[in-house]
Amino acid sequence: MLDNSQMSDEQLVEAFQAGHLAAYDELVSRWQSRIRGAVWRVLGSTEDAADITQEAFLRAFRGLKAFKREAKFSSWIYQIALNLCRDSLRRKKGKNYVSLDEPEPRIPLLLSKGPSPLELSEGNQLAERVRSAIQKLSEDQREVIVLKEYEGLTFVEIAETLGLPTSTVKTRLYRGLVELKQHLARDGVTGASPIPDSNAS
Amino acid sequence: MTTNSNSNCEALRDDMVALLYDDGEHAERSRARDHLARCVPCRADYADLKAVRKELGGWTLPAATLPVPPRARVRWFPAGLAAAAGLVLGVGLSMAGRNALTPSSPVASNQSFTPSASTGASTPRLVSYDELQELLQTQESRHQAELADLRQSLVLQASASTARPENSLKSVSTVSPNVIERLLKESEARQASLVETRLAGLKSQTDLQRQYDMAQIAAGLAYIDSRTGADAARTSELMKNLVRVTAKPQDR
Repeated sequence: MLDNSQMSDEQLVEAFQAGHLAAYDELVSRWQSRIRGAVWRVLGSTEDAADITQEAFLRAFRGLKAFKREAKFSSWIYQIALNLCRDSLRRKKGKNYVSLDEPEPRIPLLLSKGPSPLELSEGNQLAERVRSAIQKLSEDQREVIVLKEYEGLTFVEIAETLGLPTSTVKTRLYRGLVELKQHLARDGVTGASPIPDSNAS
Repeated sequence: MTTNSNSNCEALRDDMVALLYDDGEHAERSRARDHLARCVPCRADYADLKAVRKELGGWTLPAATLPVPPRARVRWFPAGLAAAAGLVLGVGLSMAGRNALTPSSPVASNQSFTPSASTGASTPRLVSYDELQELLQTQESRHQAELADLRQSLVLQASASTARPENSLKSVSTVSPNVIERLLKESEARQASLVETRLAGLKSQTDLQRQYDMAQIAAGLAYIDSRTGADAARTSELMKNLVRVTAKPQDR
């Protein structure tokens, strides 16, 4: 008999559906931090990320008995979390929210001996510019960029998660990257070439 | 960014994305490579996209959203970190000891001073601070004894040259015993001061390193306790409660 930690997601889902409820614990511990990271990148708020992640896993728990094992559990949980993100963004649309989250120390501050305060400051500035540029993307583009760049999903997995053809995923990625290039150049991030003047012929 | 209006180029954008992420079908990436080899504007576009991807790597997750290490790994983390800190400290001491006793150093100019020489082992072993200090003191006393012998032999030579003035020019030249003694004293003082300096430096380095390592361990543990540990425990507790509440009576 395999230990829960040695089982694949599919085996854990099967075990859960057969009545072994503890299998869900393993699925939660396996995926919650990745889901929370993805949600945080899509929403840009740590507090919302924690709430939405929790809600996503509650919904998954309720729906897992009926989950058809044709899709991967990971795609399914990403899908639930991204749907919740969209709902959250829709609710907030038109309202200006200021995050009360404290600026979070990044891990290099805690563990690394390497970078100087200047480098750290520059690193944080770059991170903030990238975050800001990604927040300016449309939801569709932001989702594919986050899933590809930061979650490392394949085109097929992203397509499965978002219910899109892979060609659409690639097109959104391309357009998203082009827009990011422009936003980053506008913010003066090193290495980005300036935006072409729209008035110029 | 270069705007490429050629319809052929536009048709190949998906392939270019496949090449950019090294994903998708092999044929797509191959088509993109062929096209980039011929099309200068698309090559510029591709380079731009690569540069954007590099910039995106600069956006790291804040500590609160960092992945929670698996429970099995959490268990060994403090012990592993402590062991790593110990190893760093040991290597630091060993390096410092070796630096203090390089062949160019006056202290070690005549005799090998590495602990391995005293134990007869071919590979160097790590030594503690106290052990190193003890070895240095032994070395110092040996040097003192050698200097005393040398001084005595010089005095004997000087007295012999006084007795046989014809040999004095050849053996001790024009340097008087007083000058030699002064030089010896200076050399002795220099060596003693060097040893003291090395020891003081080594001690302060060791203290600093220990303080730094302890601070890192404390910070790491505090971070785990306050963030991931608490989060994981909260979520796990919630899930367990949920499972308990929703379970059928026979599952309970």
